[in-house]
Amino acid sequence: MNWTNKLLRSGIATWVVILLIWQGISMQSSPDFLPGPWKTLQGAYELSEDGSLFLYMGISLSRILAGWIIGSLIAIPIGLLMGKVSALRLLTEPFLHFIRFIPPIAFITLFLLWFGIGETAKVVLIVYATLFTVILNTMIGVRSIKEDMLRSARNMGASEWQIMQYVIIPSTIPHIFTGIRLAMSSSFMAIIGAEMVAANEGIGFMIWNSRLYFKTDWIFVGLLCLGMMGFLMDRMLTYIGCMTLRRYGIGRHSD
Amino acid sequence: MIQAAAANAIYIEKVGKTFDEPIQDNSAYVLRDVDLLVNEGEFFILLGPSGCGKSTLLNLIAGFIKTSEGALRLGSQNIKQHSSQRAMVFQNAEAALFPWLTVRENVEFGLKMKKISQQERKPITDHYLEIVGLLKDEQKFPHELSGGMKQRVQLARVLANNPKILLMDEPFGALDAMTRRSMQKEVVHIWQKTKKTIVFVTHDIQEALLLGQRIGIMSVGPDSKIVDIIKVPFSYPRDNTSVTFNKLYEKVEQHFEL
Repeated sequence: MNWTNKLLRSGIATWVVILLIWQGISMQSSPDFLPGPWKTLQGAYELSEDGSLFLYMGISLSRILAGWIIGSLIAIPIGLLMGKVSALRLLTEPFLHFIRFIPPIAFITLFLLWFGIGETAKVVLIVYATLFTVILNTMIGVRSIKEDMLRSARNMGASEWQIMQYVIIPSTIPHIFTGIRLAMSSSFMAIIGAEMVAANEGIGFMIWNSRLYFKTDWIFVGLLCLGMMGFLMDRMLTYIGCMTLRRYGIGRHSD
Repeated sequence: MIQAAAANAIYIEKVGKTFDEPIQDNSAYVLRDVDLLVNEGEFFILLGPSGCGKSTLLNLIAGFIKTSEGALRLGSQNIKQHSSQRAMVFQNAEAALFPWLTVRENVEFGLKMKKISQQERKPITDHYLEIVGLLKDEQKFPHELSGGMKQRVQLARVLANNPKILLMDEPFGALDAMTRRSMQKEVVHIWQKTKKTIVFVTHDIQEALLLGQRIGIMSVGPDSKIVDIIKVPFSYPRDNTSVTFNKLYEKVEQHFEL
């Protein structure tokens, strides 16, 4: 009993089941239509022989990280201010709820026009994808602080700036953390779209380019890489969060 | 109120509070025409049923909210805003303590805000942790503490700022009967030791009679005010089983019979 439970928890069982189903279905089809696990592994080998697979992964990931970090650094202070200053929130919130429904992909052409076909446009796109999720989560975090907590801080002589520093920011950390985790997944979506439309490198480019050679297995390699990169990034982020931010409540309730 | 204003006495004159501002003829008042003098060093109880505005009155004294009418003074100074001189112990410690800080860090908070150095903070913090009996739990986080311990942290935390006035908003309302009893004893003990003015809000008649020197009885809202002030002549520690205690209990209870 204990042993099966462990296997389930580790996630290995999930992957074994998925591989079996994938294999089963692919056997009913041709490799060009639906390549199986083995064919995909061969594709991955082909792509990594000249190192291009790892290069592309590295390029996509560094674009994501650059845009995500810049976006978060811009969004967190804005979210804190919007949560704290209600006039600012009332002024900006309607626009925020309008613009967050415009997906990043819709901006690709404009960003290429404005920022050129180089890296800048792609990083700006990720910044855009990150911005609103993080702003919104941070703002909600600030707004959910209990009035008694702010009063007690004021009552002990904290200035408004000290309250921001010692009360609002620490108690908003769990919300900020959720925000940047969610933003990571929207960053993945945004960058792949951008690389499909306007790039000569990156996983998105690789997936899009594979259609020229009718290499369905390469497309599968790309998809698996994306899932894996996202999964690992999220795991790493959560791990770092649990290690460093435990006292703020991160990881305390999830195990 | 002719006598010279004592520095740590609270003067409340014709105070009214409405949340329908700006005030109109039909504005609903939570409090109206509240007159009260809380003497320096006194243990004063505000007693009334739920929703009678006793917490509102306490928040006015704390300076968290502003009066709509009347005058509210500490000594000769008008109370305009919150101050660490008038320290509030909140009803819900869960919401008032900082969950990301340890017990010690919570108690130190006010001193840190006043930019008092680490070396100077330590003995003060030690002293108040000792008083509330939490020295051995100083490294714990609030979520690791029981309800009574959390209220002790709150108490130590405000005492560390050396306030003139302690404002306590039903601080033991959520505790079990036995913990409540021991906390009540502790508060009396701290009051006797520090000689601070305490305004303590409760809806529990027994608690009022066990703690207070005088009890201000508030009428049911709206337009709530202090309808009677009862002196409690017993010495501490009080015996809640004595005949005189129960006589007084009945007298207080008569105010709340419908």
